[in-house]
Order: sequence, then C-alpha cells, then structure tokens
Amino acid sequence: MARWRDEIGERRAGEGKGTPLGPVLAGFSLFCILALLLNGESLHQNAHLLPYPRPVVITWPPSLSWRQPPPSFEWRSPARAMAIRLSAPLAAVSRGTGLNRFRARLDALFHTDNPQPAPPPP
Amino acid sequence: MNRNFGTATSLAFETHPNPRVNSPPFLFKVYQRVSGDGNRNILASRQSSCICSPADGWRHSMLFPTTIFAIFFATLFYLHWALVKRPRLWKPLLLAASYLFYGFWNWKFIFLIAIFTVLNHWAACAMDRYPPAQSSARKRILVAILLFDLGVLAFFKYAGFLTLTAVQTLAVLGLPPGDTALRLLEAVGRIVLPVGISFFTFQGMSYVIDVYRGDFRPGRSLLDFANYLAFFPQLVAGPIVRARDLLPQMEQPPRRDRPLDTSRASFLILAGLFKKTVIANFLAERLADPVFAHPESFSGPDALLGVWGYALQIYCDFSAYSDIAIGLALLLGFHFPINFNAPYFALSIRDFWHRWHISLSTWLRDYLYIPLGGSRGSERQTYRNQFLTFLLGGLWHGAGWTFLIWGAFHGLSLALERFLARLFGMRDSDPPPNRFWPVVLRRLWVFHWVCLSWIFFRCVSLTDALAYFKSLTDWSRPPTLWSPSVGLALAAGWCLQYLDGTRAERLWVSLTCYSKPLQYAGALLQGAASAAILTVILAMGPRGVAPFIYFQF
Repeated sequence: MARWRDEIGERRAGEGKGTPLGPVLAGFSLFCILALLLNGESLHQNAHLLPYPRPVVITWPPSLSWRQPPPSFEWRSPARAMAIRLSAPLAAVSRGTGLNRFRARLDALFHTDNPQPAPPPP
Repeated sequence: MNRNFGTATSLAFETHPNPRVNSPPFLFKVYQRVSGDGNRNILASRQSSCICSPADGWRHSMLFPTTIFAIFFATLFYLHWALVKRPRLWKPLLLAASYLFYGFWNWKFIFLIAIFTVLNHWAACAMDRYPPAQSSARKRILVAILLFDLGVLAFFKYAGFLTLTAVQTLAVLGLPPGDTALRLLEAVGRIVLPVGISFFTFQGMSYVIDVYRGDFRPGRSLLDFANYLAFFPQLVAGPIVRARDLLPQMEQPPRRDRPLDTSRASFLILAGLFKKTVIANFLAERLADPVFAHPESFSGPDALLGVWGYALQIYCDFSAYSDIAIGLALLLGFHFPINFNAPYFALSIRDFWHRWHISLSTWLRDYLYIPLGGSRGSERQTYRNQFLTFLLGGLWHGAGWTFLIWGAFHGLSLALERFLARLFGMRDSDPPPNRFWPVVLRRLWVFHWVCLSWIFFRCVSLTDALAYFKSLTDWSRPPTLWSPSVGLALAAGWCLQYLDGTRAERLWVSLTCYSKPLQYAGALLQGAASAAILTVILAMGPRGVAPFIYFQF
C-alpha cells in the first residue's frame, strides 16, 4: 500500500537509485513532444476555450466625482489569439505525422455520440 | 464506457462547462433562506461575488490538469534544473513561480501571502532570539502571531458565517434583520475567500509553534521560508508539509548529481490525473451532484448510490491532488510525506483518521489534541479532547453548521469507539483481525459510517441533510441512476486504493532500467508511455475539469 510506496521511494532515494538527470531531461522532453503531437489537433480545436487571465478594466484618469463615472476601457490579454495562432502549426504537424489518429480513435471509442467540436474562430 | 464520461470530444483542459460544478454553493443558499424573497435584488447582485463561490476566480485559477499548468510546469522544470546550481537565481525563480501560480487566480492575494510570510518569519526569529528561560517574552510573541494568523483566517473564512449566525439569532429573538444588517451581510458576502488560506495558515502556525517549543530553529533566510510557505505543488490544497520536512530542502537545493525517482513521480501524476479527470469527475456528474442538488426527488437506492459516489469522488479528487503534488515535487527533487493510505480499508474510525488526510490529522494531533491534554488525563477529559479536536477540525473545513456537525460526528464516533473498546477490554495495541470475513465486514461498516458523515459534509444546509436522510429511508422506488458505467466507476474508485505498491507500480518502475547503458532507453520509454497514457486519460475524461474540492477550504 502507500506505506510500501513511501518506504520504497525513500529507500531508492536514500540508496541513490533512480534515474540520473540527463536521461530524465531526455525522457521529459520526449514526453512533452509526444504529448503535444498526440493532442495537437485537439488542442488547436479547443484553443479558443482555454481559460486565460480575465479582462482587465482600466480606469484612467481617476475621477473623484461620485456622480460622473470615470472613463474606463477594457484590456484583453492577447493570449487567446496567440494560442489559436501558435497551435495551428502544431495541429498541422500532428496531422502530418499521423499521430492525431490515435487521439481521434480514442475519442471515437469513448464519446461515440458526441458532435464534433466547433472549429476555432478565425 | 461511452457518452457517460462526458459531453464532448475535446481535451480536458478547460474548466468545467457546468457553472454549478465550478461554483459549489456554500453560504449563498443559506443567505437566501435568511434573507427571504424580499431581498432578491441584493442576492442577485451578490451571486457573482459570493464569499464562497468564487466561480470566476476558479475559472481563471491554474488547476493541475490544465494546459496552462502544463506549460507553466514544463517551463519551470527546465529552468529549475538549469539554475539549481546557482541558489541566488534558483531561489527567487522558485518563489516567483509559486507566486505566479497563486496570482493566476487573483494577483491581489500575493500581497496577503507575502505579508503572512514576513510576519511569521519575523515572529519565529524574534522568539529564537530569546533564550528558553525567558519563556514569557516568547509566549507573548507566539500569542501575537497566532492571533494574527487566526484573525486573518477568521476574517476571510468565518466573517460571513458569524454575521449570518448573528442575524439568524436576532431573527429568532424577534428582531428581523434591518437594512443595516442586510447591508452588512452583503458587504461580508463580497469578501473573497483566498484559495488555500487554511493550508498556508496552518503551515505558518506549525512553524512558529515548533520554534516556540524549541523543536525547530527558524531558517536564516526569509527567501527560504517564503519558498517553503508558497511552494506551489502544495500551496492551495495541501498536503500540509511541516517546516522541519520541507524547509531544510529549500535551504539546500536539490543536487543535480543525485538520481531522481521519476518512476514514482510519473506513476503518481498519471494515477492522480486518472483519479481526478476520469473517476472523480464522472462520479460527480452522474451520481453525487444530481442527488445532493435535489435529495428529496430521489429514492433510497439512488440516495445510497449518491453518497457512495460522493465518498469515492472526494477520495479520488483529494488524493489525486496530493498524489500529483507529491509527484511534481519529486520531479523537482523535493520529497513530501504521503497524505492518503487506502482510507476506506480502515477497520475503525481511528484507523480511518490514520489513513485520511494524514497531514491534517497529524497536525490536529500535534498542535491541538496534545496541547489540550491528549489522553493523559481522565477518560472524560480524553473524550472531551477528542471531541473538541474534531469539532475544530470540522470548522477548519468550512464555515457552516454542516461542517461543525461533520466534525462533531467524527469526534463522537471516536469517543464511542474508545468507550466500547474499554467496555470490552480491548486495547489500541491489539492486532486487527486477520480473518477474511471479519475484516471485510468491519471495512464495510466503517465505510458506511464515514458515508453518513459525508452527507453532512456535502449538503449545503441542515435542511438538505435531513431531506437526504429522509430519502435514504424510502426504498419504495427502484434506482434510476444505476447503469453499468456507474457500477464500473464505483468499482474503479474503490479499487484505486489498491493501486499503490501493486504490480502496476512495480511494472512501471521496471520501465526505467538502472543499468547505466540502458538509462536513456528506459527514461525515453517511460516518457513515451507517459504521453500515450496521458492521451488516453484526456480522451476518457469529460470536457473540462471541475476544481478540486479542497480548493474551497
């Protein structure tokens, strides 16, 4: 159980067993690349749904009047537009390598009756 | 498993599409009941900024199973290992990353945690300057800082509850709430509860108490303490890591030449993602949320399924957060203690609290139960101490009568268990039964007893809890929520407790080869397998991820 897990983890760490940093970095990099390629198309299709910092309402110049509200404008982070734009080549590579099919098959397996997600806005 | 797992084919990368799931109503319904129909305008305006339903904030918080967090962690991972040899750069980087993680939800509360850090560190250093003989000076400093810590916690977490209780009491006494009282309620309702405040408050308190007791010398550097208090994997929902466990790791950065236990880290992260994204979300959507929203419209079998679903949902949800936090910390070279140990395999309520949220139960034992007297006094004092500890433990979880009753339920259960054990001459040191059926029956008994307490924990109000208990007694109608996928999810939620230390983990560990020529091959194989498993988990999960339950505490 968890006690085993903790003991074995501590023992391995204490004995210096495990993976050295070089292979860890290589494995982590491969993980990131593969995860992006496997999910690239799905990521692009949903980039417009991702949560980003909320719009910031900037009030300038500040007004001391109670009756007249100060002029304000809303600043929206460009993160969403950037995500849509940046994920497009990723989706293309994902399609090009054929790795998107793995995710598509899984989606078909687990969500057979769901409609296709809407394409991202231009 | 088919459509029941979700409503779209997309990544589980954005927050949940159902706003109710994103914003579990806390006090709002209670406000509604107190204020009545005449104050709908006030309530409508309050809905978006209610003290305990920071829906907007959660939608923008950096949850573990989101793309934003994946980008954040991947960037930090490389920077961390690049700079770890240079502590002057590495420590500020870690702090900036933790504050970015926290500030993503609401940047204003970075100042709160910064002030909290400075004052607690200052108090610890001030106490350390006095020798133990001058205990009165040390005590004064301790009392002052504890008052500050608890005051901040009370202001953000309990102001609404206390005001509401005062208004209710006045109403019972025949003094209906006037405009001033309603305005006060409204003002209090606008206080936003900082995510994870209970966790970092308890960590700060344990630090100063340990220094006061002389168990721990304060760290020399404020930066190290700030990194300890705000370390992002455990910042918002635990585990509550003690200073003596984590602060030395912050003072001495991880060594690049020391091997990393990536097998365990990746296993914990993937298992946690599966528990949260697939099982907990499914159980919430299909069982717990519908039944607890309208308990009066469901029959006994459905109510039973609902509470089973919630019991396994909260386990999968909370243990997933802890597992992911432990795994992420391991990838960065830090070690956390475990927080869950197959809690529903407990053979008694006492055993349950040795396995559930271990970091909180040990905190309550060390800083509340033992200072109250523990089991050193008479039997009656021991019962009182147990009851008070769990009552306050319930209050820690949330400001509401249902949480108080939940805590009292566990306190009374422990006292009753102790009383019966004494009555039948059993001792705590007695070994548990090793026969199959007695063990199974005891586990089932304890599980269902704990399930009863979850009803209070999950229900928004006492009225809902009573309605739920009423539904549990109505067995005249057949279940409507049962389906093979529900059964599969319940069985999976239960069996996930077996996951640790089983063949699955050993097989995963064996993927990394320890012999030197195969190190790269093993690590690459594990990286590729992790990416494939992650894709399967994301495809199985529903669209969007609800916030972790313990974020609200």
